[in-house]
Amino acid sequence: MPANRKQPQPLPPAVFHLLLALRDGEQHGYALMQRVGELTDGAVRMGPGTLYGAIKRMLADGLIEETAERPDPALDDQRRRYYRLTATGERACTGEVQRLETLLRNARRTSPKLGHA
Amino acid sequence: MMAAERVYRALLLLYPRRFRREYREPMLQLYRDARRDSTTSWPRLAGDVVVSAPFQHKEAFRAMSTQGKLFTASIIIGVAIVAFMAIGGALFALALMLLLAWIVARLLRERDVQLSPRFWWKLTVGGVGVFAAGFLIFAGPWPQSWRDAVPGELGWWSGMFIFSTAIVLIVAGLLSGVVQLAARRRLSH
Repeated sequence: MPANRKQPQPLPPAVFHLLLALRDGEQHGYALMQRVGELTDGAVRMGPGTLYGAIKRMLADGLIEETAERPDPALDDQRRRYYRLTATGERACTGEVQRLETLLRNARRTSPKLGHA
Repeated sequence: MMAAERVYRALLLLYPRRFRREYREPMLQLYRDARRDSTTSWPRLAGDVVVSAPFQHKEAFRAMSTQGKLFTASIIIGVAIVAFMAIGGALFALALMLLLAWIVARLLRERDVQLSPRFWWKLTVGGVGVFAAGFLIFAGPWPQSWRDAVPGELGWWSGMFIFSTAIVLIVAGLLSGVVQLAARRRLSH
């Protein structure tokens, strides 16, 4: 059977983690790093190079954008850069979640021993 | 600024220039935040640089024009050739010494020279002794006036002779040890 061209392509793990972290709203690099740690129960700890490497690629792909707004300028360092999801990023994140859900559902159906978390 | 941060700053030089220009400051800010809160250890932060920098270079290479790619590739190949020649030169010298030792061992065998079982050991120890003597002569705590009294060329050539002799003795000793060991095993089977 020919492959469906409209199937969403798997996202690199770092990109997916950052998209998930940005669903909570716009955040700066360090907050993103911490949020990814929380989302993965500490299993993924991104370093600055990995984080900004992924951010660079996501900006180029239009998944996120840099924002000049500050949640509270009085409380924050003006040098920090904040990022937020774009509509493309939202779609990509939802698509990846659905892809993984389908994969898990099919895997559990064919291998019942996998069980549920 | 702490020494650790200085080292981290230096490590950031491993990234391509364009990436550094764009993300150096946010990365340093993130480094300071992480160190302040002790959320990430220094080795982990340094390891992240070592792992992610080559990837950024790959990305930068991909984004280059064809001329840029050719230019970069020619520089990398040039450096690789020079490194290969340096390593190759050392290997060539070692191969030459092994060949010399093999010829000597063969000549001894053809003339039916009976070597004592400790022959290889004596050669090796002799070589180490010559090396140590050379080291003492050239790096010993001698007064500067003594050093100045020796003409530069004489020092260079005598050093070459002493250290080459030491290395040949060590290599020949080890080689003859291997030959003797192999001969003994052959006899025992």
